[in-house]
Amino acid sequence: MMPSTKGKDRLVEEYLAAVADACIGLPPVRREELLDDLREHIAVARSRLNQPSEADIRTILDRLGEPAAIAAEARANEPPATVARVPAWTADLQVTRRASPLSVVVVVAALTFAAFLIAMVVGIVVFLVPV
Amino acid sequence: MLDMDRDGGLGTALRRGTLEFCVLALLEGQRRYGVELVTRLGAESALTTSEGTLYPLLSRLRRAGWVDTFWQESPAGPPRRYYGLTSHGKAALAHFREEWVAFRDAVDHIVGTERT
Repeated sequence: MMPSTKGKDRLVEEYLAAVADACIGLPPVRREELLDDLREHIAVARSRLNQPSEADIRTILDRLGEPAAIAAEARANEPPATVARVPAWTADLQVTRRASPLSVVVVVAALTFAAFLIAMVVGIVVFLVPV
Repeated sequence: MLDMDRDGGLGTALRRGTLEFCVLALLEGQRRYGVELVTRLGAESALTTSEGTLYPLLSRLRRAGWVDTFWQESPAGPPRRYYGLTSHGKAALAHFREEWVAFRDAVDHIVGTERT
């Protein structure tokens, strides 16, 4: 029985190592906390089964999910300043619409021209109409 | 162009800001240990992508002071970390319930998903 227990432990350690690798950019204290939480989850989930097989261990790890997905979620739960490397999908959120400098110039010029026309019309009217 | 394959992004966006209150609601009046909590949430595929993604959320709820934890010996296996709701967590959940009803009604009204 010993060799198979060793195989199961190795599966768990490989999984946790993959999570640790995926946690790039996360503060070290947060990464350790996450690994502790996952390690505890696996230990408790194993203890709920009667003599878990290697397949049972794989099921526990499969249900925990992809290391990259867990790491991405950990980054998403951090204040932005503490995350060194943000996942690529957040780039989609950075697209904001701003008025281009050209359109601002056009609008200002048009308003100035309109004001000039109005002043001219008023001037002509005042000049031509005798009081 | 509408890309239905990227629906995962919509699911993520909808979960953001709501899932944590599902956690709080599960802890209302009942302490649960980690595996119990994430298994329960993991069973709802609309709420969770995988059980492991819930642990970063639980960590944030601990730091926010909305949940507290304590270790308890288990009759079989290692000690289990139990989660419970704090008074801050209860207040946050009550506030969410009010906001959620108004939010849901407004979206249903505009999008046309009101239940008849």
